[in-house]
Amino acid sequence: MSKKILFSVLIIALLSLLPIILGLDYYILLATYIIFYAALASSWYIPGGMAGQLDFAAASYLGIGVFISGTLITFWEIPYWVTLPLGGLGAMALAIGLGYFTFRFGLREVFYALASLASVLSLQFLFLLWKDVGGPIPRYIYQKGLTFMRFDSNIYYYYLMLFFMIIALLIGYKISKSKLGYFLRCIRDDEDAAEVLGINTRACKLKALAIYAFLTGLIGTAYVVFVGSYDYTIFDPEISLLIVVVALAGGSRVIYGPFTGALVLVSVRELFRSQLGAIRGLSWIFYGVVLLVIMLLKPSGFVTLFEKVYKKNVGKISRSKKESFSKKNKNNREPSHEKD
Amino acid sequence: MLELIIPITIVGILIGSVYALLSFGLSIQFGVMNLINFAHGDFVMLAMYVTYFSYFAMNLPTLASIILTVPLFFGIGFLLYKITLKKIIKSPQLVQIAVTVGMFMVMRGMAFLLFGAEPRSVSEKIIVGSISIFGMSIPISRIAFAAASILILLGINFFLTKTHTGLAFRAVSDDKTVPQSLGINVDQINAFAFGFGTALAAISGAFLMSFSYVDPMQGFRFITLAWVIVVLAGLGTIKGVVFSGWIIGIIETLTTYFWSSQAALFFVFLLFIIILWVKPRGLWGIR
Repeated sequence: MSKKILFSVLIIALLSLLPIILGLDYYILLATYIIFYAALASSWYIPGGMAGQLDFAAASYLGIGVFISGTLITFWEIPYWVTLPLGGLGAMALAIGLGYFTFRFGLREVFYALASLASVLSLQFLFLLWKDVGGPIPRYIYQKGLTFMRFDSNIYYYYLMLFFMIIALLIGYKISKSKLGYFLRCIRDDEDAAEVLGINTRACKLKALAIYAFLTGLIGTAYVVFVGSYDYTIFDPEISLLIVVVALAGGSRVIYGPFTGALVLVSVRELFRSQLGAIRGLSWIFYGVVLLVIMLLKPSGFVTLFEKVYKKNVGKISRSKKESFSKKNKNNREPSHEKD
Repeated sequence: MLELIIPITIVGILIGSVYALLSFGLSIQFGVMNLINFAHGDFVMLAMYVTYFSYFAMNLPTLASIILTVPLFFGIGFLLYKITLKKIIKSPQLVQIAVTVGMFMVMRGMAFLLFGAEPRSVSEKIIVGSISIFGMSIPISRIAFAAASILILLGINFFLTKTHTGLAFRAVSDDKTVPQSLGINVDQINAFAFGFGTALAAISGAFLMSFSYVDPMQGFRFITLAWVIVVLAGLGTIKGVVFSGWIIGIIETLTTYFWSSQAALFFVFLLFIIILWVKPRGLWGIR
């Protein structure tokens, strides 16, 4: 247990020292993007990993956060720190509206998956057609300073994203150890059985979804000040799919799976992009193939491979300990048997 | 106003018939195999591209390209089931959705790489001309393709109710173990059902080329429309699929005419949420 805490503190220390190691602002920008996806994937773990609901609406919740924060800052110059919780709450309201209808007992998971995917596209068109707030032209945030969280250096955004990622991981960990976490895992494994045991499945799933959407909305508000402009293309199904792919590929059953998946796969994508340039179809094929291979060969994700290696080594030690222990016992016993 | 709404409704019914054909492929996969397929829309998209290129590269009309695409897509579906989907047919829904989403991402990426992002369309060669209904001219090819879709659906209905294989399909959709004990090869029926679904996607893709353009992002539109039609219809009836297809087609053409083609998906989405709320088994669903 203490080993786990030590390990996670070590990783967080490494991640918070990373900008100093990287030095160049461009690398910090790339690292911020990677941490951004890691934060989204870590919050996706709550409904996706624990409750087993395939959620494609990450871009919707993110976009709601972006638009609430962006609109309040550009139109009324409201400080960023005030818009932060509002963005989260707005995303949460949308999530509850979506989940209330699609989490009805007896409906299959497919309906939530489909509704969430369709919500991204619907919102994209709505904000394209809603000229007062969205519209086809991107809007820029000209305000500067700490009140609006607008700086020239990317290092501030790196730490902001890292903060949200740690918050998401901590909340995910807390929930997984709480009663709600056990209920959610029960729902994932067998929803009918969970309902029979007296778990209010709809309320549990809604709670998980609301927490996830709130976190995603918060990350959205951080994203808008990080990029400095926003338009309707934030409602991009590619973002939703990317998060699902990295989370499932990393391993959706353990809390560090989505996080590790995002760190590895988004880094690989950025590497590809820096080497080959942005070819539109290539990232689709790459992520599609990764998803297919992982889901067909190892549905529990690639972190289980590390786990296996870890367990093998640790298991060897403990087994040898056990063996020596049992040998001792034998040695103690055998003479007594002989005596008899 | 009324003079406008009647012809728009007729256009909606025409495109809705093709949508019904499209969604019946999905319905049969969902019903028989219990598979949740998110890749169906992209099979339609690829079929539209094949139609486009057989039109321009080989100078084939739409009807001739169907003869090419249907066996091709049936074979692809059959093989895809044998290679990949067979493993996950008993897995949780999350795994099924993830695998089919992986398939559609690969297909979309291939479409982007091979064909580019610009929209493409063809004009019909054999069935030319148009007739005017209440002042709105409607191409005869659209009427012909809508009629062909309905005829194909009637043919499938005959196949499912009167032939031996069709009865096996329906037996497998009711139960998985009892048909096996009665000597039906459930695995073979599943492979056949998946191939059947993709073949229907091929036909409807060719038909849709005379209604709309194609670009790699169209797969999203078709998968959403097809799933909404399946949910609206419920499982087990062809009549329900046809009527739901018409409803969706009418909604789409009305919004396109009075507001914007991009807003159509929003109203379809609203209808989807309302149906899940009020009648989760669909309007015509048996089970």
